[in-house]
Amino acid sequence: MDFEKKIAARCWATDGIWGDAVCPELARVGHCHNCAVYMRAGADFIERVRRGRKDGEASAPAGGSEPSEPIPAGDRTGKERSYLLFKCADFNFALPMEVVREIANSRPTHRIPHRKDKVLSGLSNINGELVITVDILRLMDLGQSKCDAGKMVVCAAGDDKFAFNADFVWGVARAGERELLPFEDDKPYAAFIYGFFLHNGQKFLLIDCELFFHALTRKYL
Amino acid sequence: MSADMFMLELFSKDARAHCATMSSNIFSGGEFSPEECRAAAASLKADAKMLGFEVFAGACQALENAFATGGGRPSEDSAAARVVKILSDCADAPLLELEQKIESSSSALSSVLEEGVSLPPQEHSAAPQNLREQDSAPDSEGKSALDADDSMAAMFLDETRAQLANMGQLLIDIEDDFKNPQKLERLMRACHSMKGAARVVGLSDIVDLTHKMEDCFVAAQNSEMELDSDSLDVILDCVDFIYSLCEIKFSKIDKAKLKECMDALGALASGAGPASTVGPEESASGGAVLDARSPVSDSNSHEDSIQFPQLSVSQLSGAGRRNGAARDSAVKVSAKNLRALMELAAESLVENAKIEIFRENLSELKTSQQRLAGVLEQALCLLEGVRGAESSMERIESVRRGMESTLADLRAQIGEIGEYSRRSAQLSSRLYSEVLASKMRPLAEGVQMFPRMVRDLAKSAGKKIILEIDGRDVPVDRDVLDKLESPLTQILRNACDHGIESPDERAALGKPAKGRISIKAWHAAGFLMLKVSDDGVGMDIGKIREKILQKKLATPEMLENMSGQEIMAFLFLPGFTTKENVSKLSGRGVGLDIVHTMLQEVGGTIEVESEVGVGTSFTMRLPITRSVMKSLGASIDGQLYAFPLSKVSATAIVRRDEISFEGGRRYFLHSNRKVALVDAARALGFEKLRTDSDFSYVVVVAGAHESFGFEVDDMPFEVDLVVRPLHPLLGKVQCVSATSIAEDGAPVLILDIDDIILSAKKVLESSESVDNATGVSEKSAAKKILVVDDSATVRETQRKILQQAGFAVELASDGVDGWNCVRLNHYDLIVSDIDMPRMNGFELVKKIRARDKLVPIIMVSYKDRREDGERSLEVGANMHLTKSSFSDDTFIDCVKKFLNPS
Repeated sequence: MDFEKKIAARCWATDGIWGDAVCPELARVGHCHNCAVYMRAGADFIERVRRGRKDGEASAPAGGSEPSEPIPAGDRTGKERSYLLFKCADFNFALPMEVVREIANSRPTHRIPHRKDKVLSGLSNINGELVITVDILRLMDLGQSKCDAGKMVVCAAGDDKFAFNADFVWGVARAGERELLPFEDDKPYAAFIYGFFLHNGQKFLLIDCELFFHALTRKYL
Repeated sequence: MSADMFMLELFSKDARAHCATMSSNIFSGGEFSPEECRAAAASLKADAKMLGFEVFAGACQALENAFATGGGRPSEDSAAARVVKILSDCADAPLLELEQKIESSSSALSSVLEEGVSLPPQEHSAAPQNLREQDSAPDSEGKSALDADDSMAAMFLDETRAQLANMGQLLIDIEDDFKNPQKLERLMRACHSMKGAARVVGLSDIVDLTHKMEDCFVAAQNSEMELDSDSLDVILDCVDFIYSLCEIKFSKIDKAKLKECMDALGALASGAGPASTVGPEESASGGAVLDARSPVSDSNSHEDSIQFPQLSVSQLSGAGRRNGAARDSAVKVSAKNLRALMELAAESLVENAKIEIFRENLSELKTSQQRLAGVLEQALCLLEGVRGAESSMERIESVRRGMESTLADLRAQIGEIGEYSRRSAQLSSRLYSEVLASKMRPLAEGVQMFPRMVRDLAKSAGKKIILEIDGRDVPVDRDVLDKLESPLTQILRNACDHGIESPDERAALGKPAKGRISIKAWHAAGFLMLKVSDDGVGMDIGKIREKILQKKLATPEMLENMSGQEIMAFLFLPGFTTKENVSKLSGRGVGLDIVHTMLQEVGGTIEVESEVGVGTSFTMRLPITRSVMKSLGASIDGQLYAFPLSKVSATAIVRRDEISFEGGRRYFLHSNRKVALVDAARALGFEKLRTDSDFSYVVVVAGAHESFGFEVDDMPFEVDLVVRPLHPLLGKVQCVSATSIAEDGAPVLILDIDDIILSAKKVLESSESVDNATGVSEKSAAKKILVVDDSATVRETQRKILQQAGFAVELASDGVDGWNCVRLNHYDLIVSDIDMPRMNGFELVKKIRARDKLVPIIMVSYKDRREDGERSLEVGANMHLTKSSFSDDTFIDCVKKFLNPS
């Protein structure tokens, strides 16, 4: 498998240390960080961001996508916005970058006494600040998030900051208004989904921030 | 707080916000928006109506009409501006006096309203008076002169405040000796300096006022006038007046009050001779600095705004500058920034500790290298003398030498890292201490108002009392300092009212005529000790015993076994008083309750000692800082918690055979006292399976009547924690008072001991879970109503009405908030206002109807306008009501009709 194919397949997340860790290269390099494929993916990403800034083109997400399939430019897709793409259980979500404050490694969460609601996971120390941690899967009635692996996404509406665990953060992508398609489902979580868009052949559900923060501040705290 | 007080508080908040909107439009130099004022007046009117403040509502109505008609900015002496000022004064009144203030302002409002409230035509609306007066000045772009020279204004205000504080203290001191020439001289100088500074900044009224005050002291110095307690009242009143002007940065000068002060001073002076006939301009005082460049404004102007001419700093009086420099300069830092700074400093301390781990790792590497070098050494020894091994030995020797050199490098690196770690730890620690210290202020800042207060209280009670303060420089956390005012006020009021006897009584008892109250502060064992003592009548423990029995708070047998301290503790119960009569100052039995509540809030304790005829003393033990708490850290259900050390009696390891069972409860004996054993995890609401280990680690905490032992996971340890407030979004968390971060960066929750004791009692009373929410089933059975309104007062009124009728109510503050609620929850009925920010009621109803055709919707508006009613029904509401329907049964009847059609 050549570099491009490996990058497109995101081998570090499948066979690499963020996946099953079965890649034979691991024995030699120890960690994906030291692997030429991963380094190339990183270099490609930075180059795309640089090019995107320079030409006003859309930048591709972190971690590599097919360079031959750039997100169409703004005039064809409507007004574009940047979204953080992440995965929780079997769902891929997108969150507008305006509300994202930080991506941190997962860290211990201190439970809150006498609070039975499972949406509120507790408090986590993120860079010296105790941030309220929530379970977005429980919030949307989609099960329970894993809290010991992956990343923590810190987002904020005004001064109200929340963190939640995500199994994997794909990176940042830009998508235009016209790429957003209406999302319909009978299940309760549909209320939290503003719409969806396709990226690299995957479906990303865009979280309705207004309702997301409303529910967190009013219903569960 | 009663429900009515709650409503009043909401009204007060709303009223302040709306009045501030109108005031900033009318009185500031910014843009004037009649529409913004109209909306504020309309909202305020609705709120006032809701609470039955009819005249207030009428004034708002008049303003609303005037602003709706449009026009330019009203002048400051116009009826509209005066109405806004009266309303603002009412809104700014303390909560307890709000109703009275509104009532007392009614006649003033009515008389202004009679003049007719309207706005001037647009073309005549110029800048407010303060700016109009200086149209010719270089700065005439709608920016106030105060803004134009902030440094000058700030310096003037600082100087004036310092002089006023100085005068306040001197005036109280001089009461002992009205003719003391040094004190008179200092008072005269203080007035003189203020006058000079006021003239520099062009405040002619203040120049006149301070000049008159100065005259009084000059007359007293020349024995042309005798100061007495009443004349001091007059001067203190003037000091208060100038101080109040400082607080509003001299933006408005109340001419009536000014005249009152001037007249009173004039009356004093006229009794003393023609001392005040010399005009300020002719006075030699301050002449050197007050040259012709200082344009003293026309004293006939109605309400002056401060006008600072462009003068150099050097023109301010020298005394003021010295004063400013000598004082400990303090700057205002936002609490949020300070908190962030503390968090970062704490984090840097935690991060720094990790460097040590690297050093240790390197040391381990060095040890293993040394071991390897040793092996090579042994190999060389073994090969020594072996024939043919020379070349191997040579190679081994070269490897050994290489290792030696690497080891030397490693040693040097370890040394350097160690040095760096120490330096860095020292810096982090200093940074951390400095940040903590930045929260400390001298006690003097929290007690400076008391000498005056005691003097006034004593005077009104016909007593003579001296207040002595010892330990003014003792540093106290500003959070603690802020909290000290109300308990100290209470204790001092009690002492003045029924502690210290009248001069006659004291003379009869052989005591000096002047009573003595002292506040003494010192640090002891990491705590701030505050002792307030008086040499008054003292408290009769027998009387307290009688009261306890009378109020059935304890049985005679229980009292028998109580110590004096325990009996005195009853004084802190709400409503407990030994006074038969309620006076203006005290006697209702709420005062010491306030003291106790505050102390609990900051984690302090109080002890009372009293002896009949000798006096009473209250000794408070408070944390020096609320930022760092001495705690006992313990793991509960696998997570870290902290018990405030001041509340922990002991720790113990309790063996299984030491535990006895009684009525389903577990006990063990500690210091010969029975201690109830509670699983801490269960008290915190976690379901924990008890492990059958041979012993338990227990933290013993004393409650009011019994002790509790909380079982924790492992051996508790002492730790100093930097206290951080609980995240405001979490609201009150049961059993938790604050948060912190441990040395390893793990979050720690600091326990609220009173709360966890309550929780422990529940656990002991019921083997079931602590959180058997009783209201849940009730709540779910009740019909659920969503109320959407942008006025907090209206929302609360509706909530009260609906809850009284047995409905569950949820509130939303505007259309968007309401729409989000509807998307997340099901409601049996929705009540919505029409005029709201972000999304109005009509838009909201349209959206709701698009997803739910059935839910009944009632729209309410301030006005009974036909078009509102029609539009409401058109967009899909089932009914339209006016807000007057809240005062009769129309609203609730209507709701019931929809929800209980039978």
